[in-house]
Amino acid sequence: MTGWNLIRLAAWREVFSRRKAFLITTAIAVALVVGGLVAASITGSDDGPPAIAVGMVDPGAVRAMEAEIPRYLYGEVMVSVESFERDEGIELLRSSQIDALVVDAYHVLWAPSAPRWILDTVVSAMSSVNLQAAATDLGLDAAAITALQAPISGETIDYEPEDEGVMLVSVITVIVMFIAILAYGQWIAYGVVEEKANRVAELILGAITPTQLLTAKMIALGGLGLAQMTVVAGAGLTTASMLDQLDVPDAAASAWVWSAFWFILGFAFYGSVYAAAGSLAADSQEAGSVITPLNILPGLGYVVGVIAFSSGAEVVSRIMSLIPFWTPMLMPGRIASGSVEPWELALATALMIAATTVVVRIAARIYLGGITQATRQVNWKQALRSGRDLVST
Amino acid sequence: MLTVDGLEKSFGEVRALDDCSLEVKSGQMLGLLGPNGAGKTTLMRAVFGLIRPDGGAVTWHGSPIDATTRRRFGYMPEERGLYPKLEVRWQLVYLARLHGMSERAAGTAADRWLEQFLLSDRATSRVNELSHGNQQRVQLISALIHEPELVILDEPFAGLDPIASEFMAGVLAELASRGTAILFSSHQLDVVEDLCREVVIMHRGHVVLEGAIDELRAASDTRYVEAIGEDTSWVTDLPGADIVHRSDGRARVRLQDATTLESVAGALARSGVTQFVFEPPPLSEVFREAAAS
Repeated sequence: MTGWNLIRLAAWREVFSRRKAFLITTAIAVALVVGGLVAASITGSDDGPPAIAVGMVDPGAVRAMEAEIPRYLYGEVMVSVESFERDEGIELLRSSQIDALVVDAYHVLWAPSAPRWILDTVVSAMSSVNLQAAATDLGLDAAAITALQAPISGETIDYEPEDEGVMLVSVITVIVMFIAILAYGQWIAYGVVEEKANRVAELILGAITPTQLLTAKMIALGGLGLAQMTVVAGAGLTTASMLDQLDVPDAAASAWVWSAFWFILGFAFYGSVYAAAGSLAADSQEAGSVITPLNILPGLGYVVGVIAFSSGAEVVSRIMSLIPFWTPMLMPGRIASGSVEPWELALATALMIAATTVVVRIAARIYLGGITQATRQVNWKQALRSGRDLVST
Repeated sequence: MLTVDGLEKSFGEVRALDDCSLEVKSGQMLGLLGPNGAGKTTLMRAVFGLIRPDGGAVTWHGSPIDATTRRRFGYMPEERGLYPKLEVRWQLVYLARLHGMSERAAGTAADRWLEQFLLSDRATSRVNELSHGNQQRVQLISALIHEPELVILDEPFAGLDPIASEFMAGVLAELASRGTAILFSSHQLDVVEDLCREVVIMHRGHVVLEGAIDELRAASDTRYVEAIGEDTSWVTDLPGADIVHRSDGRARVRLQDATTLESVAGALARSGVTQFVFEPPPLSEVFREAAAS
């Protein structure tokens, strides 16, 4: 049996023994993503265009206000003007069913929740109506007066609505990469602990070398991680594009491709480190004390990455994305936002590959030394020494 | 033939293996004895490449042992090792395939072994659902399923009841008769005595005694005499005899200094003894003497 056949066999066992956990976590992730998107689109569509509701105590003034209010509004706004008894109007104000109640030509009451722009609009319209009434009283031409006070026209300038979407994609990629690396890193670590604690390692290392076994684990769990990311991202993108209300930035698709690329490098890096850590523990009780401290590294990238992307702190995300510990988590988001220079991408890739090569070699030694110390907890120095001895035989 | 030649291994101050040499021939069942800490497990782990010896060599048919050779070996570690949550048959097929069997051959072999070990109805149980004895059987199958040329078992009888021990001994004896080389360690000397003709006794990382059990016993200077007869005064006629047991009509003594049968026979005849046993010490005593020296 060739080495690759052994690796394939051992990788298949890793996948087979985790099939249930994989299907369950993937189903939960898909449900969360799809559910979140659907919920967002439902609450989003409820908003509709802004509206103004004005009550008038004097029914005779209704028509004039109805004509005047739209002149002071910009964009699409629903306007309703109705007359109410004073007390009834106040009740409606209290329950925020109307925004303003015009008591007489020179007095208006506000709902507590009425925004400033409604206040301005109503006051401007009232002044205009009053001015026209005064002009008519003075025998002037009301239409001419109206023309004189033509409101200032205005319109919204073009802006890039993708900005927020891209920022969101960046933040989401950090979260997804962090969860994927952490979850699958832990799976590797605890899988190694299980094999060592149950002494299965002793049994199978006669047939498969530790390097082959480690390779099989990395391929199997890295593959599962990638598959889960693909399924979840695919479900998310499909759902989002089916709900037209929601904008799917083009960046999302390319962000996924880049995420896959960085996940492979990041998992080679972190997966081997987690495997090495797992091999140091003697049983699952003490595994936590060896493995958990490692989570600080990706955790730091996650916290700083999310803050940097959502606050636009570009210098921080830029520097961190070049440091191999955090490149896999931050680079996909930066690529999505289009702020990466080609030389940065080349440098980050080169640094990541170099760091991964070194880390995988050291981690494999530690793993080799640790996994063969049946039943014993060892520190990384002992494991490294013992692993080096075994490699040289 | 497995040849261990001058193996050395130290863990810090402790010399686990000290110029340790032995041989296991095809078809031979060799018992490896020694007190705790004698280096038995370290020796076995060295054969499987789980530790790197500081010196000496381990060879199989004269060639150094590499990963391919090792796949033709079977190992049952002292600390039992199986995936607790995987099904029994799935696990056996997996281990057999790791040792180079095709999927189909592994499946056939797993079914055959499970049937032989009366475990067919537990094929789809998880390992952690089995009793201790049944786990031990699965563990033994996992060491044997790929028809290894050499089987190394670390304390295979530990924790087994007499029936299970006998069953396992029978399986091993049959394998040896078909040409498999078998090396196993045990504290249960009676089992060892029943099962194999040859033993190696290790002490402090070194082989202190080796050979056929009968010869090792005979080589001892100690002899036991047990006789039946109303008159037990013969025990005092034998110089240097330690009385092991003396009651009405029966006595047993321990003699040292290479006493011969002729010198004993005279004293016994004078006391009118008609039935007696003159025998070398049991293996357990040979073992204790070797460990004490």
